[in-house]
Amino acid sequence: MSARLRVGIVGFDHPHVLRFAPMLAAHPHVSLEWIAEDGVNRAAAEAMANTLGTRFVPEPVGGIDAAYVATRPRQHLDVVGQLAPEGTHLLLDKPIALTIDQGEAIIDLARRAGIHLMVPFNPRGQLGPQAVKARIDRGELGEILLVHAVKAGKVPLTIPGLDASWLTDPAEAGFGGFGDIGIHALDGLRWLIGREARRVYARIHGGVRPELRVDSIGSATIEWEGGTISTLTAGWANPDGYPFFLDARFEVVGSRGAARVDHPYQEVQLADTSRSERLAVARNDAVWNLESFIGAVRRDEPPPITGEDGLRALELLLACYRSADAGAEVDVR
Amino acid sequence: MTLRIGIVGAGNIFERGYLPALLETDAVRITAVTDLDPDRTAAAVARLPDATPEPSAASLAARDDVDAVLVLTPTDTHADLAIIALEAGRHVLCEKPMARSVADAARMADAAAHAGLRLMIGHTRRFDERWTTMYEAVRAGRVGDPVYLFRSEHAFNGAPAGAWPWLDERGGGALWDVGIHVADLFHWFLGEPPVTAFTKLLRARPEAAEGRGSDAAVVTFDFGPARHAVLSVSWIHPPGWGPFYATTEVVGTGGKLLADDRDAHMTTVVAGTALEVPRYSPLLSATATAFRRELEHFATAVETGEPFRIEPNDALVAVRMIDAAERSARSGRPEPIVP
Repeated sequence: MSARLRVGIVGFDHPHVLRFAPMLAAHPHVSLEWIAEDGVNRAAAEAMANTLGTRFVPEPVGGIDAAYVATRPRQHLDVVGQLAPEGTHLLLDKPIALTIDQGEAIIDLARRAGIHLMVPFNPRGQLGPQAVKARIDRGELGEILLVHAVKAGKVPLTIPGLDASWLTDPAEAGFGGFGDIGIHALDGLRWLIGREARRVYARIHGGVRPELRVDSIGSATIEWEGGTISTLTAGWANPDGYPFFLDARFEVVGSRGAARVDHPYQEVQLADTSRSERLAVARNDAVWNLESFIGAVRRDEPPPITGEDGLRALELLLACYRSADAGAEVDVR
Repeated sequence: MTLRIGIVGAGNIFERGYLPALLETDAVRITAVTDLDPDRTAAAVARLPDATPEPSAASLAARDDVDAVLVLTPTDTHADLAIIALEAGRHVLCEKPMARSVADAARMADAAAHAGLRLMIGHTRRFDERWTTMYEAVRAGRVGDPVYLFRSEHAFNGAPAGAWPWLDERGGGALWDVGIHVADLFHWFLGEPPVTAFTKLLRARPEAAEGRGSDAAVVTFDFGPARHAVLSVSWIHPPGWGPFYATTEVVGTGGKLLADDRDAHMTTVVAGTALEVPRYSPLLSATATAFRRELEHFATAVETGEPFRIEPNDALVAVRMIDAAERSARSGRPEPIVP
């Protein structure tokens, strides 16, 4: 494909849009046609469209080859139902949906329309985890025995550039901090271990931020096919004064070697005597996810993270919540 | 007055943990040593200017110049040896875990209470500045209400196959031998025992498969509706990874505390593909200073009658926590910590 890929942005609620929008506008193989948003973030979307020199529209208006979907997950099925039959390839931000039924319907719509559907997850695009994955695939770590994952961020109530408070509304977000941030690591575990999860035991609660109506932290112990054990702790565990927005860690212990990756991003930090500030961050993961999607569409190849991957991550996340509700270990499927 | 101590067991923890501390303190004086291996007894006596060898734990406890007995033997022998000393009228400082079973640990606590003597379990972490600093910050409310604790302790266990730490009935594997530290740390930091434990164990290395003791354990402790803690201990890291490393996290309603490799004054050197961590202490799990403080605290509290930083019931709680964790690994369900 030599012509530029015509891309639209649907919705302006997912915080990732703040990175993907400028990257799409600047991409040499992309023409960002419009940004569509008609909710609480309409003004933010309009401002972003003006800054990027693209068109703001309240509703999707067509004329695109592909779309990045940054609506709330509750709206995903409707959006896909509208765009997929038009042949629009979709980068659908995580989680794929709030229920398995919705997720399966989305995958079915994409399959029937013959479009490429990708769900972006961050660890797959981070350099450290990629290096570990390459070593696992080359067999250097031997059989994977134990994996620890940590994914801790700040409460998304003060993200400059858009209103993400819906993430703390149980009806809109479906999950709280454990789900919001943990689903990245659940996909990361699936990807690193290369197998499916069998059983999970989880404790999830709102202890960190009891004033919120959703959970803020959780831990899961997951048993995988082949007997690998993994743990995940995820949530909004970083207080506002914490010097890093994100703690993201994978520790992989195999029968022949071990690896630990921490600090997913290269950051420029400025600290004075009372506080620290992040001046710049290299978000390789966002670049990788976007390039992977654009590349897959341009070459007409399956994207590296499919709708099915998005559904498996959601299934595992839902199993964590089922276990937490039951107070017992549960089967994932 | 300097407390006169007889040592039962002159193996690894004596050599690497207590001996460097004993050589640095005047608070205690070692007057007698016994070990099942006479060569080890002789080697220990040679290092300790006031010590003479004894043939048995019973003869050691019977000596007039022994005020207290330091039990540094495999876990499954703690109860019998501590009780021999208590029944002979000696105070006891015993290495962790208190015992391999709740019944044995309770027997020890009862024997001390019955004899009116002091019994302390060597949970050295409680004397290590790294953890006392975190403890004080948590108890002072500096993270708000603590709602999540994480503690990992990983090492390559170089003990040969068949050595007692690998044997399920003797040392209990990594869950008991290392996990007991973490259990105590959770109980200590939160000031209350958990409600349930849920556990996954591995027996990955041949030494563990043969000995049936776990070499990796992951335990989730439930401390009520909005508080939990995760323990992760293992002996399965490759030997090149370094002898020991640990991570501690406390998340509360008002803050977060974090201690890991970055803060542990370790220098990492990449040599080939291996990572070598130079040791700043013979046992990275606790500093030599911590062992010295523990000994001095024991001697002072025996003399003054002040409470131990860890009383027998505290050590018993840690044993109950690990016992529940072990039961969970068998049942596949969260198991209650029996009060």
